[in-house]
Amino acid sequence: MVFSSISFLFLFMPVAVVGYLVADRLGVGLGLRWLRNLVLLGFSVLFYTWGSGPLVGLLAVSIVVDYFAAVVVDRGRRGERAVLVRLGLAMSIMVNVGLLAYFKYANFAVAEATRAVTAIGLEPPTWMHDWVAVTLPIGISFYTFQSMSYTIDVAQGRVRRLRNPLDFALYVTLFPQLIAGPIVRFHEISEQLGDRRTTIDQAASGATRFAHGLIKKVVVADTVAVMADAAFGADPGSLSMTAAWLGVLAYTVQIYFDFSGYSDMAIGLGMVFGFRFPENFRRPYSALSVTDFWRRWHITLSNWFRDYVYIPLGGNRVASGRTYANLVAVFVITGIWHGASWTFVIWGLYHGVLLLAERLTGQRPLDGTGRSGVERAGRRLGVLIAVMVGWVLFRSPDLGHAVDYLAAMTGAGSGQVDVHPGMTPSLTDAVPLTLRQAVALAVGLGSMLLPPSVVIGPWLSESTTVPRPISLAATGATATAFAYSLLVVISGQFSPFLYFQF
Amino acid sequence: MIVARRLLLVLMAVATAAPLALFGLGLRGAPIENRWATPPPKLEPGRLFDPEFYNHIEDYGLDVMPMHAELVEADATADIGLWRESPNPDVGLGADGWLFLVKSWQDGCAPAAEASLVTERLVAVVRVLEASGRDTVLTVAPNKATAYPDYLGPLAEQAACLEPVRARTQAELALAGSDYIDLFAVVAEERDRVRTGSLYYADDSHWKPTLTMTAASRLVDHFDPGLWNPMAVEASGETRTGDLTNLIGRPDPTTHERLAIDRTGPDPRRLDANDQFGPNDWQSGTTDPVLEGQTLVLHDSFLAPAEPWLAAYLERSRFVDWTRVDELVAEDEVWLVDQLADADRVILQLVERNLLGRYAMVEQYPLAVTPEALVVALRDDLAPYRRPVGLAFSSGDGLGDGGRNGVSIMEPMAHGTTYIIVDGVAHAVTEPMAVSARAEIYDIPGSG
Repeated sequence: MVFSSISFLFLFMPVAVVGYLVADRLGVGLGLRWLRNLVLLGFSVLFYTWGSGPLVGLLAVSIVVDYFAAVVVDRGRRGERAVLVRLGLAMSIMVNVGLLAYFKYANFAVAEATRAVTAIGLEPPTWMHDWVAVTLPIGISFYTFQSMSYTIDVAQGRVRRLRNPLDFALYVTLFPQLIAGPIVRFHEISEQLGDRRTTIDQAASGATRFAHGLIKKVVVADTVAVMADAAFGADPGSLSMTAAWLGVLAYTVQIYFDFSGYSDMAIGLGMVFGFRFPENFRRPYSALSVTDFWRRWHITLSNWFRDYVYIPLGGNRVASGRTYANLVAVFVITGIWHGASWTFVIWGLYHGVLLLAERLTGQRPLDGTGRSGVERAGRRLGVLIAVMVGWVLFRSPDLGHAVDYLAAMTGAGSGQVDVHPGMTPSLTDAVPLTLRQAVALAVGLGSMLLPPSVVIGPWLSESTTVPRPISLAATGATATAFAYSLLVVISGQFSPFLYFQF
Repeated sequence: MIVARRLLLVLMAVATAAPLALFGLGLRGAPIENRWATPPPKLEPGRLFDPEFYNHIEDYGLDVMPMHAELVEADATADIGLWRESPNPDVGLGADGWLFLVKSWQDGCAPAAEASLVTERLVAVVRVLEASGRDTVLTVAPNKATAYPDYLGPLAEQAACLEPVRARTQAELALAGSDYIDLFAVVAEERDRVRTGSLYYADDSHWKPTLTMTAASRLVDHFDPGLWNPMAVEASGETRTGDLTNLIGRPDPTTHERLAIDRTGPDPRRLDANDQFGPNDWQSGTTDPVLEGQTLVLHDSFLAPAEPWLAAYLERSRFVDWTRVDELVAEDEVWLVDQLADADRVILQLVERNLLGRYAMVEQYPLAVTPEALVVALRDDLAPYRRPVGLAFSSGDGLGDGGRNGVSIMEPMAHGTTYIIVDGVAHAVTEPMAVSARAEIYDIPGSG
């Protein structure tokens, strides 16, 4: 189930919120503080089962393993027996990474192995022939990372292990952030699992944030997605330079508004349930360097890799060469984390190399202090273009397509798109540009041009110092756009037939 | 800001919880997607881990969601009013509020199979049926965009791609000769004659009853000129909702003319209880003259309203919509061939978009209606066209032996199609070929 669906917005969410609030009040009245967590856990399991059915079992495996791994680690720490700590950590990492490796990468690995065997003239073994594609469980990349973070945090002594398995199960399954993040490391939320409160103002802030997220996803991201899909769905060799750039620009807007919109909805829902999730985006396209970009883009993933991979590998405390190798390695892993394809590997490598280049040249400013407006603008534009080139790798179905698309961006495409007969050729032939799409793209681009310090979402949803006229106008605009988003969601599932269907 | 956010919270809570609350109060929305409503899901423990169970809940919830129709309509209004675009890419916004089915030219401009192949096959089927003694007529209803291009407005440019395809197809259809009724010409004449109003609905993909009746009259008169003489034509109001307004989520019921005919004696009697797609069997009851024998009418929605009118002129008739033909042929490959074999008379009607588009039955199930399959099925009736043994061969090129020793060279006929049946399978012969002296060869004339 996704947040921008009728079943979530009009069925699951109202029932879950009311159910939680009732349990919260009942729990307070009856002295049953665990009741609200139990109810929220129930809704979270239902949320996952709704979309994944029996694959909820994998989620349970991850929870059970990490709960007991942390028990082992905790005993090891208290008894100062490093072997137990290592054993617990190994259990957690092997099971979670194993689940991830099998369910996310096995198909890719088998396909590549088959290709390699065939390429050297051998007959692939029977098991490769007979390989049955593994179904990718929704959100497995997110919940395995969260689950592992608990065991690692206990091992690192950041937190004590949880006594109540229900609280841990809730931490892993918490539906607002279960399938698309933010990736909440355990130490960031451990105290809130037992001690939190939902106030009317917190709920109002959460609702506002949720509305902003839905609007970003439905009104902007889904609209420009049509343009991006058209551009990346066309033969790159037939794209004009304008169409190629318009396509990648649309995708740049789409991926940010889609992902950050989803994070906004998750953070907002979390607030309704009394949680404070970490921010996941902070105006990434305003970055002055690629290093800066990664401190603004998918922040919770970057932090996870920094804390649990980069620093344990030695971080900046080892020799320069090792640091650089670690840096590139972490970004290659980051790329692989996003998907089982060479395009993601190369995308991660590309960013790793960019970061390395910035380190080697000392050109990695994180703010614009002491820099002229022209330099800041130039840097922002340069970073944006570098990121957009990366998005071509990210969005393309394969490396060949990505190379051809990048060539089209330099004008190598013919510009002679084979438009489906009977369709009106658009401004750029391949990429449709209706009034709706133009407006959505303009909104997206406009947000990129704002000063880096302007972070509208959290400001409008939480600030108490917004001037009254702005406050009223923003609320009115949010309410209108939210209502419109609901209409779009509803009509999006309207699929009538010309004639009666049996 | 705090007060404003609280107000927003209340508004959001009302907006998202209202449908569920109204459902709890017993309010149910009506299905609006032109399909059977999803039955309520049954909660069974065994299904809790079955994703289909949740899909079922979603489908049911969507069907009964209170205010669903109103909300879809509101979004459609915003699409048209705010964004100037159609809520449904299958429907184009023409001039003066006219709506058009975009597929009516898109499919024709890029058909899955070459339009001419489909047309050639249809014409060949008509020829075989005629040769077998079955009075056959083929007719094609023009697309709305073909009949009223002036209302295409901004869609004219994209619809123009169909013009060369249409011209070529009409020329190919004309090869059926007198077995083809050119409704394109009929519609053009009627359109020029009827100056006020239009003969097609502005909000529907179909023509109005006046043209349905005109088409029916041409079909009846084709078999027996002057037979179409209804004693009375009644006209009364009928409330209907344009199919294209349904597609865009803005159903708009309007009142239109309703026509009926009256012949002497009882009305035709329908013998089955099938739906509008058939097969629907009728028995005429009139004491007026009728076309005798069994008539098979293969049609689409353009001729469907004429079913009772035509039935009044046909002694016995069976009406089948192409949509249902597709289903029946999928179940039984020779169903259609059998139907054609059982008929004394055959009416084949398609709308232009179905002939040129992807729905074309002949394209989807070519085995069912290939002229070759018909030649095999109707071989007894085609006896007059069978090439006599001994006369079937030429031996001028030295390759054969004139049929004396069982092998010879067979020349296909010049004005028509020659079919040869080998091992129970017919093949169209386009070039001279060596054949057995005992081969069954049929020469089907070129036009009726």
